[in-house]
Parts: sequence; structure tokens; C-alpha cells
Amino acid sequence: MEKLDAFTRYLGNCGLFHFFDAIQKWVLVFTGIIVFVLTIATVFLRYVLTMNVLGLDEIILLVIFWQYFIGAAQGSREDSQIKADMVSTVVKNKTVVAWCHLLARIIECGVIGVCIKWSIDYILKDMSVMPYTVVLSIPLVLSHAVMLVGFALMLLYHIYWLLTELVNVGTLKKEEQQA
Amino acid sequence: ACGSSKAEASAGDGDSTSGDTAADSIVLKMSTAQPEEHIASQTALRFADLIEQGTNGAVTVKMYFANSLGAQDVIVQGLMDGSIDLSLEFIDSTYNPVFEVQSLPFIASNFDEMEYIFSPGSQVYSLVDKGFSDIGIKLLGVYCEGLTGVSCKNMPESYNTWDQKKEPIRVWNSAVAKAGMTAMGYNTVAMTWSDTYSSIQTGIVNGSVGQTSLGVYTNLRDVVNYFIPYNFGAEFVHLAMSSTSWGKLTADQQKVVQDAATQVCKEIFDSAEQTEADGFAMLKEAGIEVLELSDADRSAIAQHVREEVWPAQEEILGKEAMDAIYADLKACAK
Amino acid sequence: MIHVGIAIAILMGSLLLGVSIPFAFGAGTIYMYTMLGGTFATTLPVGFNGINTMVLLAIPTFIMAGGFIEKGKVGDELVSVVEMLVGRFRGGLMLAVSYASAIFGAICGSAAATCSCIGSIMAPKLKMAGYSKGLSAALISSSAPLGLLIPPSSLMIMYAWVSGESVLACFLSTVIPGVCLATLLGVVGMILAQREGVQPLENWVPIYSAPGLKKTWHATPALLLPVIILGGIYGGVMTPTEAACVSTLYCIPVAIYIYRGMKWSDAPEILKETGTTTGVIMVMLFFVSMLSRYFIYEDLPGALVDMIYLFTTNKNVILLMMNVFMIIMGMLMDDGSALLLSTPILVPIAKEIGVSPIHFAAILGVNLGMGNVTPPCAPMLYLGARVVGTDASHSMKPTLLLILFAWLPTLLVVTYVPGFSLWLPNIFGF
Ligand code: NA
Ligand code: NA
Repeated sequence: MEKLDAFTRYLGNCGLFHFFDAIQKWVLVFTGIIVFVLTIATVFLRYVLTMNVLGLDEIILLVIFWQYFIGAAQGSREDSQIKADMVSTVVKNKTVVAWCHLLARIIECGVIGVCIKWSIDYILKDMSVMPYTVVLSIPLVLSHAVMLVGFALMLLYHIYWLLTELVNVGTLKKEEQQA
Repeated sequence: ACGSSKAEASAGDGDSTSGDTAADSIVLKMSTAQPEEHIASQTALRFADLIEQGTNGAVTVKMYFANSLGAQDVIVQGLMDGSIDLSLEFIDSTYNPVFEVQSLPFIASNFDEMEYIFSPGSQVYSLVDKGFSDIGIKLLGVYCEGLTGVSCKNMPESYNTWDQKKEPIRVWNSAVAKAGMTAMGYNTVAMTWSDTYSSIQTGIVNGSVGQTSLGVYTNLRDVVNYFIPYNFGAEFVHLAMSSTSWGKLTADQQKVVQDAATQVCKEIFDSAEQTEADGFAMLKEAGIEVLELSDADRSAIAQHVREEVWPAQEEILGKEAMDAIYADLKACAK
Repeated sequence: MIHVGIAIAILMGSLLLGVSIPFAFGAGTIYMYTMLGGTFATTLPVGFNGINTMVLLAIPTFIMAGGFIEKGKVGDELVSVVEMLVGRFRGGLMLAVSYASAIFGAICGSAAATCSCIGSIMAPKLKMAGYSKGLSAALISSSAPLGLLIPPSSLMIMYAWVSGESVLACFLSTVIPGVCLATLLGVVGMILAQREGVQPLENWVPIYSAPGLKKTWHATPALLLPVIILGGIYGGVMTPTEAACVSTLYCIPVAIYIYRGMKWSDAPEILKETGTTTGVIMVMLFFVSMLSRYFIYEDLPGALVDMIYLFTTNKNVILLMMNVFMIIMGMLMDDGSALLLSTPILVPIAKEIGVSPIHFAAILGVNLGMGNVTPPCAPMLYLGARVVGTDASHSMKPTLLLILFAWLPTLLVVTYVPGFSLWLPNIFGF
């Protein structure tokens, strides 16, 4: 258990995680700026130049889709995914709560695993039929690919949280034995 | 338990094609874009009845109205892999730019051209049919409600020529539609259909292009004062089936489904002209002026737009598509 | 239908265990996929097409705008003006809390942002004026959902998305209920404060005095924000998404150069935080669309309608049942998840019994807004207590009184008087 604890601590602080943190941050910053600028540009073009550029929304949707999935990955990193965690408010026994949370993490990792499989299917499917957006002919695989990226990152982070929960269960067990 | 029969219909193994499974009834899931009371959904219901009668109940259709299974793109993907069997929806050019050919401005300048071009037998129809089968969809027919025009709040200057007009008109998100309107001298604003009503009301745009007289009456009569029946394009959707689901039917059942499709589409073509006249009458009753165009004006505008817009489309749609449409129009003229 | 039941059980079970909401919906989806022999098109494409739409773009842009507005100390200015208007009465700060929350609600679409922003400004003032921490926290918590009822509102954008109704019409449906609720909350709060024996403010500055006018002048750039947003949207000048971006464009220089709440160098951090919030919400919607699609496939709403009709066909009784159902949902989960679970099931029932979906938007908005303060799952109750620096158990009793005398009466009127919510949308032609 000490080894697992040490490994989890190491993982949470390793260079790879910091590298991903930085990448995620800048993806969120830049996608935010691009969507902001393009939307303002739409208003400006419409009122000041009375012009209407077709297909700007296709670019906006592509960019914001990257924000959605990288943002969600960042949410997993910070463990700020939305929860309705009732066990910890209702149950007082710490060990029971810890086991429930461990089970929850296992379910999460399983679901994300299936989603990774599905997103690979999605990309393979795109490769065979190559769908494009209607106006600007942007390949939709550019949007679909971020699902794979996002889910892969989420899996990494949720495995990390699973390990943390495992350590927590182990620690509580030890405390119980000592008491 | 009620889920299992549906699951078999869509995902059952392939050997039900052999015909020895005729005792099991097949349930086909059909999606329509419109709510149940809309004429398109009513046509879908009639189509379903014809299939059930023709197959003595061996094939039944479960309807999902108003895109309750998802928007157009989800439906198309469902058709492609057989999780949705039938649809009465517009299939856009996401999977093949050629599909846009049917949306060319002034593809048909009158009802005869419309019926010819959108019916089996025309070169355009075969081209789209082939494109659909490439992505796993069987085209059963094109459901064509009528020809569209411009509806607006303020009367546009020189609406019967292609001189430049001031106030912008809403177009849907399509480069060809925008080019067509520009060639007619209109400024355009592209926006989704759901924003159109309030945008006309608040004056962001003067009006909208792409609705039939009946469509304008149904959706926009409270915000517009004029309707100009340019015959800008055809108001149509595709009656389509998943190739996977098609393959699961026996040859007899396939014939029943195809015949039913052909029949309901033909009925709509036959009533289109009357429906337009009814639409005009309803518009007039609602206080909306129909700005009549002489046949000469209308064909002059059609000719002008075709010359201005169509050649540039060859790059996107391909020469084959453009040849098909010129050939069809020629065949019509005879 | 048995599979639907099991999928719901898996969903609820996972939620109870503490599985994050998107993956709880994912677990239900995977179950349905396996049991019904699903194909590829019934999985990720449904989620992708569900959220890949311009309608939902208003959510990320308003979250971004909210981030800059919160950092920009715009809330302080709004509060100072409201305080000058109502601070004269004994217990008037209670009215100030509810009205400031309502006005802040006009520039922000989230209850949590309203709570933390107005709450952290008002908490020290309430303490100095002698209000008990419990009552202060209760009112701050109960007023926070006003941000969801006064447009723009992330809750109503989601409702419009799920039900396919106009976003603008849904926004308008909760305005009058929201304003009435703000007044009611303030008045009930005032009465409770008077019973606690608070005195009128000693250093109250009337708005028409010289220092009052100066303060108002200083607050003008902040007061213009709701004008830009609501005027832009309902004047037909901009879509909600565009209004959010334009308000951000306006807010950044105001926040940096006038109120000095933030610096240029804070911007990347704000964008990162708001991007994370956006991602978390949108990926939740992504998974919700997949499972809802299976529910529709299996005709869950139809089955429920049949079941309800076994008991009663009386419209008023069915409305009551739907409200009770939503109150229970509101007690178990946050407003967004409760909305996403309830809307696809309840809207068809509402239509069936002749309740317009716009009217139902208001019922659902007020009901699930209240869910923010009904325990056990009461995020605003806990957040409000934390902002004031007390324990939620102290604010529980005054919160209950606010629910009884402000929230429930509003909910009843909204439910049984359609004109209350439909009048404003009708004026705008919906
Ligand atoms: Na709001
Ligand atoms: Na609650």
C-alpha cells in the first residue's frame, strides 16, 4: 500500500501531468479567444459592413468542440466533474463511503474505456466516408478526433483518482485494524 | 420486453432476407422532421398504411415525429448503419457535395420541370440515387411540396428584375442559395430557420427566401406583408430507407415499399399546383399581398440566375451533375 | 420497457455512489446499447450532433462573460445602488440582497455565480448591520436562483434545447415569476429580520443626495451591462450568444480601467476556468443526449403518460403530480441534471394535458430553481452558508420559512395561472 501511495503521489506530480496541464490550459485559452473574436466579428460585419460571411458558424463549432472536450478533461484533472454524491452526505461510516467512491471510480473508468473504443470507431468511420461541413467543407473528423483525445485524457485522470481512492480505502482499513 | 421486438427489427441477423421469416412481423422505425399534424408527417402516415396493407401486416412502421430521434445528421447516420429504417427528412451534402444539386436556385422554374427533375427517370434523380446508395441509403422518392419564393415585410424595389435591392433577406446556410439571391439583387443574411421569425419581426432582415406560399402562411404570416412567387427552389425532402433495412425485406415486401413511396410522392406532385393556389388564397385572406410575376419576368430572372450562378457550381458539384441538370431541362423543354 | 427501468436504476445507483453525472448517464447508455443490440449511430454520433449546435453556444459564451463580470467587481457597483434604494427600511438589506441578485441575474446565467458574487459583497454588510448569520445565509442562498429566472439563464437554454422551444420565449417566461419571487423573498426576509430586532442602517445614503448621485454615476458603467444584454437580445439586435460576447468585450475594459477588479494578465486564468466549466457542462449534455435518445426509442414518455392516466385525467392533479416529481428530483440532484432528466419525460405529458411548453418552462424553472435550496442536495444552501461563514444547519430554518412563504406560493401561482408566465412571451409574439 505504501508503494501504491508513493506511486499515486508521483503520478499526480509528474512531468507528463504538468505538460498536459499546460497544453490543456492553452487550448482552453485559445479556443475561448477564437470563439469570442469570431462572434464579435459576426456582429461587426453585420452592422458595420452590412456583410454576412457564410460558414463562420462552422469554424466556431469546430473550435468550441475542442473546448468542450479539453475542458471536460481539465474538469477530470481537477475532479470538478458535476456529481450528485449522496453517499457522503447520508452515510456517516467512512469505510463504506470510501468503498462506494472506489466503486464509482471503477464505473467511471469502464464507461470512459467504452467511449474510447467508440471514438476510435467514429474516426475509422470518418476515414471511410469522409463527411464534410456543408458550407466550408471542413472535414468533420477534425471535430470527432477531439473526442478520442478528450476521453483518453479523462481515462488517465480517472485512473489517477481510482488509485487515490484505492489508497484511501487501504489507509482506512489499516486505521481500523490498529484501532 | 417491448424493446426486444424493435431491436430485432433493426439489429436482427441478416438471414431474415430469405423470406422464411415472414411470420415475424418486421417493425420499421421511421423519422420525420415535422410534427404529426403537418402534411409531410401525414404523408408519412399514409405511406406507412400502404406498407402495412400491402404486406398484410408483416411489415409495420413505427413513427417518430418532429425529429424526436434527433436532428437530420443523426437520422442520416442512423440510416447509414440501419438503426433507423425510414426517414422523411432533407439529407444535406455532408457526405457528398453532389446532393446539393437539388438545391440549385431555379433548378425548376415551373411545376412541370419540378416533377420531371425530382422524379425517378431524370438524370438528376439517378445521380442523387447513386450517391445515396454509396453511403448505404436507398432513395425511395423525393417528396416535393412545391416551389418557393421570397416573403417580406416591406416591398422590395423592382422585385420583378434583378436590380440591386436594399433590405436584406434571410437565406439558409448554403453558398448556392446565397449566390442565387445575390444574383437576383438581394442582400442576404444567413441564419437558422428558428431565428427567422423574430429577425423579421425586429427588422434584422426584411424577409425570408425558401418557403412555399403555404409555408409562409403557416410560419410567417404574422410578420410579413408580401409574398413573391419566384419559384426560387423546390421545397422538398427525401423519402429514404436504410440499405441495411431494405436488404432485410423480401422481394415482394421491397416492391410494396417502393410502390407505396412512388404513390405518395406522385400524389404530392399532383396536388402541388393546387396547394400553391390554396396558399395564395390563404395569404390574401390574411392580408398578405402576393406580388404576381408575369411568366416572361419569371423566366427572365430564372435564366439570369442560372447563367450567373450555375457555371461556378461545376467546381463543387462536378461536371457530371451539371450535365445531368442541363440534359433534364432540355428533356423538359421538349 | 424493463430495460428502461434497469437503465434508470443504473443511472440513479451510479449517481448515489458518487459517479460523475456524465459517466452515470454513460453507464445507462452502455447498458441500453448492449441490451438493445445498438449500432454505432446510436452512440457517439447522437451525443456529437446533440451538442454540436449554435443554440448551445450561448452557454459557453455566458459562462465566459460571467467569469469576467465576477472578477471585474461589477457586482459591488450594482449592490451599492440597490442599497441606496431600499436601505432606509428596517430590514431593508434583505430586499437589497434579493433585488441585487435579480439585477445581477440579468447579466449572469448561473445561480452559483450570483450566490458567490452578491453573497460575498453583502455578507460583511449584513453582519455589520446586525443580521444573524443564519438569516443572512438563508436569504443569500434563496436569492441566488433568481439568476436562473431572470434572463439570460443557462437552465432555460438547456430547457429550450431539450424541448425544442425558442430560447427567447423560455427566457421571457420566468421574468415575471422571477421579479415577484425577488420581492416576496425580500419582504419575507424583512419580516424575519424585524423579528430578529435589526435596526435601520445608520449610515444610509439616499440616492438623491450628493454622495448618492456620485455613487450612482460611478456605478453607471456596471448598470449598463444588463441594458446591453437584455436590450441587445430583445431589441432584436443580437442573438444571446452574441450578446454574451459583446458584454464581455464591454466588461473587460470597464473591469480593468474603471473598477480595477482585474488585470490583463488575469485573462488567461479566467479563460481557463470558464473553459473548464463549459467542458464539464457540455460533456454532461453530450452523455445526456445519448441516454435520452434511448428513452425516446423505447417511448418512455408515452409509457409514463399511460401510467398517469391510470390514476387520474384531471389536468390540475397531473400538474400537481409533476411538481411533486420535480421537487423530489430537486432534492436529489442539481438543477441541471434534474432538468435534463425531467424535460424529455414531462414536456410530452404537459403537451398532452394542454399545458404549453413555454408555460411549463416557467413551472420547471421556478421548481428546479427552488431545488437549489432543498436538502439533501442543496448546492446554494451550502454555498450561501460558506460565503457567510456559517454552518448550513443554522440557515436551514429561515430557508424553510422562505421556501414556505416565498418559493411555494410563487410556484403555485406559476403552475395554476398560465398568464403569469405567458403574458410577457405573448407580448413579444411567441
Ligand atoms: Na440570469
Ligand atoms: Na435540492
